[in-house]
Amino acid sequence: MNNIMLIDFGSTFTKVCAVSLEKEILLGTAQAPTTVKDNILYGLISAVDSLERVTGSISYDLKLGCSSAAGGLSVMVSGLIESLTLEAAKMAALGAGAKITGSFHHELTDEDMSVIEKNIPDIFLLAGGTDGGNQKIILHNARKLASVREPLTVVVAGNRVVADEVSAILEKSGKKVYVCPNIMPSLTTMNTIPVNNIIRNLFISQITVAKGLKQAEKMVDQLLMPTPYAVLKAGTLLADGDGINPGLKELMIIDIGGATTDIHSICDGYSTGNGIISKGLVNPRIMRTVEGDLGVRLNADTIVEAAFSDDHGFFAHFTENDTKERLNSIKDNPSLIFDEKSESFDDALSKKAVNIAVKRHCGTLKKYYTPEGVTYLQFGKDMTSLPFVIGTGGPLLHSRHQLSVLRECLFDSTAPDSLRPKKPQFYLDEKYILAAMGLLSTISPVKAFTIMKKELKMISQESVNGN
Amino acid sequence: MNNTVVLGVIGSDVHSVGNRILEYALTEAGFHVVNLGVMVSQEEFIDAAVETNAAAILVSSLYGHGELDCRGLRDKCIEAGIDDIILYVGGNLVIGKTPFDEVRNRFEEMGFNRVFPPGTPPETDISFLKQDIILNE
Repeated sequence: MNNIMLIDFGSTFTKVCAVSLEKEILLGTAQAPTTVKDNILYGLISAVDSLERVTGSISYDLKLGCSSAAGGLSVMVSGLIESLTLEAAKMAALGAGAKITGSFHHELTDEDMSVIEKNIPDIFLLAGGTDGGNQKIILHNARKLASVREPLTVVVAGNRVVADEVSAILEKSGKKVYVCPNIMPSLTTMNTIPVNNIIRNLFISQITVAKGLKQAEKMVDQLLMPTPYAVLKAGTLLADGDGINPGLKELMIIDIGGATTDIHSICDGYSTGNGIISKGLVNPRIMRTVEGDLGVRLNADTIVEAAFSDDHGFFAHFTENDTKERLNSIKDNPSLIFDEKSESFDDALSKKAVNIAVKRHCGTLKKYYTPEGVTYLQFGKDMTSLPFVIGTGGPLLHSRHQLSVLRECLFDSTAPDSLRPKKPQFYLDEKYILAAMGLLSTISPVKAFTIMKKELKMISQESVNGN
Repeated sequence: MNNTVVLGVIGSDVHSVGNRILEYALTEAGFHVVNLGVMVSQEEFIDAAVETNAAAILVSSLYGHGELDCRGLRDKCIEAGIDDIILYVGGNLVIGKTPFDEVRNRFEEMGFNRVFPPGTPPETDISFLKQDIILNE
C-alpha cells in the first residue's frame, strides 16, 4: 500500500489530504465547499480536482474519511447530579467527537421532553446513579424517553443494577438501545471509554447513513469517525508516540472554528504545588471541550459582547460602528473572509475565543483561609507546566498574527487562579492535517507520527503570513 | 441492608487522619464507603449521597467551626429529596468548654440523628450505624 487519500467532510469545507506511505510525506492538500444538500460527492470531487491540479493525477490504494458535515454527531445527555453523572456523560460524548445539543439532570420534565422531541438527537446518552446507587431517576427518565414518538437511539450507561430494566422499558417502545458499563461506576471513577467506542461505532454504522453521508462510500473506502475524534486521535498519537519514537508526552490542541472553538488536551493535570487538595470530578487525561458559543462566525456577536463586558482591549481600535458593521457583514455572509485591514477584526475574535475557551478547559485553583493557614483547592487540570500547544482551524491558519492569537491561551498573572500553560512551545498545523493524520493513524501510527513531525511548524515569533 | 455511606470532613477543615481511620474501620466493618476527604461542602455531601443512594452521611469536624458548617445540612437534604437519610456528626464540634450534652442537643436540633464526642472509638458509631440503617429501611 502506498498512496492514501484522507478526507474530512467538514461542516463548511471538504478537505482532502494525499500522503505517500512509502516516502512518508504529504503529497498535497486541498479543499472545496462541502455539498451536503445535493450530493456530498460533488464537494469531494472538486476538492480532489484542485488537489490534482497541483500534484498531478495520483492513484490511491486506500481512501479514508471522517465527517462533521450535516450537523456533525448530535448527542443529548442526561444524568442525575449536574456535577457528577451529567458531567461525566458530557465528557464521554465530547470525547467521542460529538456535539452536545441538550443536557439534562434529575428527572426529565415535560418541558425537557418537548425540547428533545423538537430536536431529536442522533444519540441520547442516558446516565444516572453510581453502580448500586440511585435507581429512581434513570428509570423515570427511561420511561419518559420511551414516550417519544420518533425513532430514537439510546445509549444506556448508568447504574448497572437497573440497566436491564432501563433497556427493557426503552426496547418495549421500539427504541434502539445499547447498554454500556456505567459511565461512573463509583463516585471517584469515570469509565468513559466504552461509551466513547459505542458512540463512534453508531456514528459509522447508522448515523452516516441517515445523514446521506453513506453515498460518500462510492468514493471513500471507509468513513471511520467523526472529525473531532480524528483530531483527538492525532493529538493522542503525538503525545504518546508511535510505539517506536517517543511522543511529546503532554500537549494541548486549540482548534478555532466558525461554529465552535474546541480545546483538546492530553495531560494528567495533577497539581504542581504543595498542599493542594484536588476537588470535583477527576478530568480524563485525554479530554476535549467544545465551546458552542465561541465560533468566530456563528457567534461573533457573543464573543464581542464578552470582550466588551470584560473591558479586554482586543477590539480597542474598532469604533462601535466599525464593530457593528463587521458583525452585520458576518451575519449576512458567514463564509466571508475580511480584507487585509479588517483581518485584525478576525484576529480579535479569535483571540477572545481562545482566551475564554482555554480558561474554561483548564483547571482552577481556589484559595481558602482555614484555621490551619492558607489552603488551595484545585478543580480540573493544572496545565501550568504544559510543554506544547498546537494551533489549528481556518480562522487561525488565515491569520497574520498566529502567535499572538495562540498566546491568548497563556497563564495570566493577574488571574492566577486559572491554571493555563505558562511557557509552552507553540506549533501550527499549517497544512490543516491533524484530522487526516488521526485517520491515517488507524492504519499506520508510525507514518502518521512521522508526517506530523515533519509538517507541524514550530512558531516562536510572529511570522508575517503571505509575505 | 444498604451499606453505602458518605464520609467526609466538613467546611474548611483539613484534618485527614481521623477521616482515614474511619474509612478503614467502616470498610472493615463491611460498609461501602464513599470518602470525600477533607474540606467537603454541604452540597458535596448531598450530591454524593443522592448519586450513590447512600444510607447515611457521616460528618467529621475537628477545628471547632462545626456548628457553623453543619447548620442547614438537614434542610438541604430535604430539598434534595433525601429527607430520611441518616446524619451523623462527630469530633471537636465547638470551641470551649461547653458540656457535651448541650452540644449534642444543639446538633440534634439541627437534624443530626447522632452526635459523637471527641475520642469516640469507631466501633461505637459503627454499631449504632448498623442498627439505625436497619431501623430506617
